[in-house]
Amino acid sequence: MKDLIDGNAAAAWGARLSRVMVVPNFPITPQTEIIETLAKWKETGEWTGEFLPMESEHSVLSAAVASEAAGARTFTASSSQGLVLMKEIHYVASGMRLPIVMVNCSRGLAAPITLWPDNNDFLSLRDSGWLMFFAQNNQEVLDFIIMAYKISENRDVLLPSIVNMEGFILSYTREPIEIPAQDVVDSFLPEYRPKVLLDPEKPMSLGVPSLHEYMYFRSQVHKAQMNALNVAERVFSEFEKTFGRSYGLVEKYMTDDADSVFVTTGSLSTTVKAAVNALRNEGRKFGLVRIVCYRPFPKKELEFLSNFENVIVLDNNLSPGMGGIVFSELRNLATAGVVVSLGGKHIGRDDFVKIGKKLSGAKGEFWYFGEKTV
Amino acid sequence: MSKKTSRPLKGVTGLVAESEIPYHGVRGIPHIREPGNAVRRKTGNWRIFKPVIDLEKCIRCRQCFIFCPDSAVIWKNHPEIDYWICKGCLVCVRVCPVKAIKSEREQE
Repeated sequence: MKDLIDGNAAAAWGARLSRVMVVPNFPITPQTEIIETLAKWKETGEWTGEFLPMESEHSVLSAAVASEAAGARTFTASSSQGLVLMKEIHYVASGMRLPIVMVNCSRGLAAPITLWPDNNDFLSLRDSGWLMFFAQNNQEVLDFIIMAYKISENRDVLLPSIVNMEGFILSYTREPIEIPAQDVVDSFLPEYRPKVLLDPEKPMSLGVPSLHEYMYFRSQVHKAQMNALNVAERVFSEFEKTFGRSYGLVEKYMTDDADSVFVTTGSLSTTVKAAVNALRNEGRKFGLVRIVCYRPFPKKELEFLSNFENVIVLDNNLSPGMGGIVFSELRNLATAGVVVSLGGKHIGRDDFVKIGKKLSGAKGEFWYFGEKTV
Repeated sequence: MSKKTSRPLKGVTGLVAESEIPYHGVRGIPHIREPGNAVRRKTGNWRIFKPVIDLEKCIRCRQCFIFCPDSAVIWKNHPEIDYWICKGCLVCVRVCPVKAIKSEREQE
């Protein structure tokens, strides 16, 4: 079924099609509509899971940990301040190896307060042990949720996943979306069958203290993340066979004959693709490399970046005292890093064209403040 | 916003090498140090619909004056709307008992 829906509705559809059983939730702009949509379906009976309104995001993820540990497929969503309030439990969820899937509508973190998007909230989970996926459009939001359950619930992975979309740019923008049929999704994503679960008949404790063994358990989280690279690739190809849409850990756009590339994440990529087209029309051989799966980090897939003269990393995020976060991770391969669009500051195709031209041959770290202010 | 003091790379406004970003000290901290300045913030340009009072029909009941959430209705023996402040929420249109307030689409 084709429909014209926004990113939030696409996320709600992703959850509904994945037959999630429990949705603990708390409202926050720009994510609230995901929860509203599920609440509406709950009322009309179109979705029959457990809808748990909680008193804070910390409680939301605590409830998600509990329900996932009890063997129920669990979904939730948050944004910005809410996501960082959950933070303590993010590490618990990955350490307890619970395949929760959640969606983040990224939004800049206070202070100053903003409602517009940047990826600092999402990237604060970088070291938490969650699998992290960047969606660039609303179709990917829906598809990645379904795939995230399949990857997370794989016995070689058993880690929680988070799918990111930019708030407003995707969350409140309608795009034509292919909503797959329920029976097709059911054939792709079987019912969740946990190996270990809380059962009142057989009481046990999960996530217990361990001192000497701590390092061993965290090493297992790391190994599971590395396994996820292979599992994700298998799931992507299976997804393509079932639904006809192909994804990879890294997306390459016009890189075959390029001498310069932009490296981006998320919805920035669609605008940069337009800039790449414009630069190509002027005879400049630009391309784009988009990191889709951010954790585990596709190191091998990105090694080919060393073939390009210019590798310009565009970061709509910032680690103060270091610089753009993705640029930091690609420091050995990238030539220039630009911090752009913090807090959703407007940036368009022509801006990227200018950046591409100006930073061809340049090395180092730059900021793009836009036309109006510095 | 601070004054333009950093040196942009030649040819591209707004693109600045990190080392050229100036440090503005306490001016770079997002505080408002002056009380009662909200009146200077024009919120009238948020309006999509504009409430317009028909004083012929108005019975001076003060419902619009009482219910306006932003005190954009001023009372001078009759109601008057401060269009600098009025965001166009149209609560006044809803509460008027004699329908003396109409909403008009704002022009560009």
